[in-house]
Order: sequence, then structure tokens, then C-alpha cells
Amino acid sequence: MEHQFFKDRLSAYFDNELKNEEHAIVQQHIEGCNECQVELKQLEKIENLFSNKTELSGNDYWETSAQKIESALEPSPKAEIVEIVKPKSKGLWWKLTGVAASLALVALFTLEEKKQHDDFIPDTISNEVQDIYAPTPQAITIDSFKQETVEVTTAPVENEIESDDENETVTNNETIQAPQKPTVESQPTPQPVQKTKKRIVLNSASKEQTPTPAKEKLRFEEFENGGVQTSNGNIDALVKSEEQDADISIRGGRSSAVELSDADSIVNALSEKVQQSKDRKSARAKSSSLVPDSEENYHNVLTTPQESISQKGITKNSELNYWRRKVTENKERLKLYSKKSVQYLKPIRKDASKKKNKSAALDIGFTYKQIFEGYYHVALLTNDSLEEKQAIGYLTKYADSLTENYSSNALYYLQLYKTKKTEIESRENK
Amino acid sequence: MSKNNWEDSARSSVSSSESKSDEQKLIESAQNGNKTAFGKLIRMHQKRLFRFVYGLVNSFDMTEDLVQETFVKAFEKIKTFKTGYAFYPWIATIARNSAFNLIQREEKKESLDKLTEVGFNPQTVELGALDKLLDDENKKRLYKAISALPVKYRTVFIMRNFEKMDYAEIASYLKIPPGTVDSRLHRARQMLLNAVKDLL
Repeated sequence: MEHQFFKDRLSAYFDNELKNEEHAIVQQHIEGCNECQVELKQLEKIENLFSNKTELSGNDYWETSAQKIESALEPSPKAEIVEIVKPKSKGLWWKLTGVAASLALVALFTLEEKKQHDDFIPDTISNEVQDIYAPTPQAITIDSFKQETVEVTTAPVENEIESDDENETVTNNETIQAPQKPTVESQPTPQPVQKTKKRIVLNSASKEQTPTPAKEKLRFEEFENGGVQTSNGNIDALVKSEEQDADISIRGGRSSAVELSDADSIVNALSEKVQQSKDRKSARAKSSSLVPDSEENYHNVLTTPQESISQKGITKNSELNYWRRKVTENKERLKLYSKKSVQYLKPIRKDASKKKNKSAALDIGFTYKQIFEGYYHVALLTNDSLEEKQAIGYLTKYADSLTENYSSNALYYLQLYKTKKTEIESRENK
Repeated sequence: MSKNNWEDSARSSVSSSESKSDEQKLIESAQNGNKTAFGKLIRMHQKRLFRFVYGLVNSFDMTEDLVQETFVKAFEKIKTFKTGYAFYPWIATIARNSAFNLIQREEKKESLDKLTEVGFNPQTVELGALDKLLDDENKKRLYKAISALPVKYRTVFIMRNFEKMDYAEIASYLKIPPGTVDSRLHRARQMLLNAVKDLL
């Protein structure tokens, strides 16, 4: 009876599937039992026999079989990748309209005193840059921050005249809050603004995967003004926020304006800047059509022949500058996400139902794409293999980050890039 | 969890004529839509996969279909495959799922006595088209012995012997207790031992 007990466990013992104690007991029995030892050897032989002596032969058959399977394969997955997911801009224009309308109402009451600040744009443009692109953010001084703030507080009215300027002033105002905080002693309402901004940065990803015309345009406008690194958040803030958010921004600016005593010097400084900003506006008007203001237009810009760009008066350097700035901005944006958020990228593929994960992942994926776009253009312009590697690296990250749709898009962009590069190379060879 | 363990063990036991890095290159190429690269992957793994699937379904025609279906599915989903992992465990999982779906359907059609060990007689088994892939009489005997096993013993034996899955993995996959895996495997081995004793 006892022997049968151990015999029944021989198979599991042979497979090393018994628990430690049981294994030891069975082993002890086997050492003293010839019958079990013989059976164990037979198990081993059976195992080897069926593992090693059951390989199939017949080479011709396998080749035919492989060819048969190959012919049954679907066409290359690449062939399916044609469609680009269009940006979902539904409802954004309504929000923008709402913000603009509320600001316009405020503007009616303060219009008269604003005329002199009409075209205010921070004075950070170097004289060398004559075209569309803005100076580096480092060129912005604390003074200019203060002046901008004053501008916001006193002249939100511009919107009625030119909506672009409205956007600039509001976004600048909001972004300025962070750097100004340590220098200004008593800022009455810094916290609400800060909170609003944080919330918006998070939400911005969840609702939108691709740039909308409005967002992209605003981003560019801000870029022109030497906007700060976290520009996307600011743009998102403008786009996403309701009238209430806009009011908070303006109130924030007004309160900091109280800190400034020398109003005359500010007025003088502003008047000097008016002419410069007008010059820049005219340059911008020429080139605005080249700025990708939506996913669709982005596609068009990608495929725009180089000649047409040069015809519109944009120099290669300024274009390079723009795309490099885009890379830098978005790399900074990536830093906004904690490591935890980046880790969300993995679970998102398995469990897309978690909204929090999804929004973080979407935004990170989108940012990867933005960086890719930057490197993409830089690589095309400079023909630098390192830049190309970077572009492809970020493209891969973008493709990996999300669903198959995005991967398809990424592959599509890669294809487009290769085609474009070949075109350029063949043109250069000629 | 158990599936991962199995995949790990299967990963380490991958026996391919080409090195892993070559396989990875082929996978990456196939992910970019290269059918030729995928064709090489098919040639690398189809024999092993065929043997595994035949062991489960015990029918040459069904095995052919299942292997083809597996590779077609794999090519469709190749973009979801995580590079850095071995290819065989992945396709083996696809094939196993398809095979068990088929077995479950077939089981319902078969009479109950086929599912028991009564009438285990390897000598009466006909290998059919598989015969041409076996160049040795002993091999034919081994396959006849496997084919003669009742399906509940055969599946457990094949998963353990061909794919080196552990008891917990087999149990979770077949939805039976690990103890049952142990007893079925033990019984399968006893039957095979009796059938091919003279070859040992």
C-alpha cells in the first residue's frame, strides 16, 4: 500500500512538481526501492524518446507548406496604412468664441485708454530676425514680464480689434505668473491661477489627441512672442477654459500691476515697441499660411515642396529655428509628466478604460509626435543623420505609446518622411 | 502568471537553427510588412508547431489548417508582438487556443468511449498523411502510441512533453486541478510505456 502511494507520485517527482517536503520523502523512498528506481528510469526514457525522436522529416513538404501559408497571408500591413485620423476639433471654436466674446465685452469699457497699447508684443525680438520667428525665451527679462502684465490688466480690449493679440496677451499673462511669483512680494491671487493652469494641463490631453486649428495657431502665435516653455499648457488653458478662467487670468494680471509704480516709463517703453510689433505682424501675415494650424494642414506642410516655402520668403534658418524650438518646447512638456504618468503608457494598452491613464498616455503620445515633427523638419532641412535618428526614435515612441490607429499614423509619417527625403536627395543630385 | 512562467520557460527552450538576434531582425522586418522575413519565420518554426498541434488534435488535415491559420493570425497581429521576446511561444499560444477550440467542438461530436482509455490500441491506429513525414518505423510507432491516447491524456502529455509546460500552467489552461494533471500524466506515461516498452 505504501509503495503504491509513492509509485503514484513518481511522475510528479520526475517532473519536479512535488513540494519540497514531499519531494524529500519520495526521494528517500526511491533510494531504498528498486522497483521505483526502475520505473523512474523508464519515465526518463519515455520523456527523452518522445521529446527527441518525434521530429518530423520530409523537407519538400515543409517548403510547399510554407509557400502555401505565405500565399494565404494578407497583403502587407503597410498597405492598409493610408488613412490619417483627423483632429477632433468639434466644439472648440464654440469655446473660443465664448472666450473671445466675454473678453470683447470687457474691452468695450476700456477701449479708449487702450489704443496706445494696441499692438503690444513683448520686446524680445532680436533685430537680426526679420521674419516670422520669435526670439529665444531666455531673452525675456523680468521687466518685460512686468510690462506685459500691465498690458494685460489695462488692455484686454484689443481682442475686439485683433483676436490674435488677445490670445497673446492672455497667454503671456498666464505664463508670466510662475516666473514672477518669487520676485513680487504680495501677489493677491496667485494660487487660483496656478491651480487653474495645472488642472488644464492635465485635462488638455484627455480631450484632444491632435492639434486643432485654433490650438496650433495659438501655439504659433505664442511662439512668435517668445512664449515660455510650457506653452502647450497655456494654449490649452485658453482653449479649454470658460469665461471664468479667462477672468481669473485677467484679474491676476491686474493685481500684479499694482506692484508697478513707474507708469510713465512703462508707457514710454510700450510706445517704442509698437512699431516693432507692427513690423513683425506684417512679416507674420506673409508667412502664416505656412504654419501648420491643424493636422490636415500639417500634412500639407509636410508635403509642401521646398520651393514654395522659399518663395514665400521664409529663410531656412528661421524655419530651422522654429522646428528646433518646437522640439525644445515639447521636451519640456514631457518633463511635466511624472514618471508614474509615463508608466501609464503600458497599462493603457491593456486597460484603456482607466480614464486617468488614458488621458496621460494620450498627451504623452501626442507630445512624442510633436517632438517627432520638430526633428522631422530639422532632419529634412539639415540632412543630418543624427537628427533623423532622433526623429525616428520619437516616432517609434509615438507609435508604441498608443493604439494601433496611432501606430498606423506613425508608420504613415515615416513613409512620408522617406518619400520626402528621397525627393530632396534626388533634387540635390540634379 | 502561470502563462508568463510558461512563456519564460518556453522562451528559454526555443530551439531554432538561427540565433535569437536573427529572429529578432526577422520579426522587426515582418512588423514593417516584410512577407519574405515572415516566410523565414514560418520555415523556422512550422515543424515544431506542426508536431505540437498534431499531438493535440490528432488529425493531419486539421493540423495543416490550424498551422496555416496560426501563421496568418500571427502575421495580422505581428505589430502587437513585443520585440525582444522569442517568437515560438507566441505562435504556440495562438495555435494552442485554436486547437483547443477545435478539440472542444470535436469532443462533443465524439462518442464517450473515445474519451476513455478503454480500447487503447496503438497498433490499430492509422497515421494517414502523417506517414510520409515519418522516415523511421520507430517514429511511426511513437506517433501511433500518441494518437491512440484518449484526448484527455494526450493533451496533458503533449503540453508537458513537447512544450515543457508545468503542472500549474496545464491545469489553469485546461481548467482542471493540478492533481488531475498529475494523475492524467501519470496514466498517459503508463500507457505509452506499455505501448513502446521494447524501444526503451
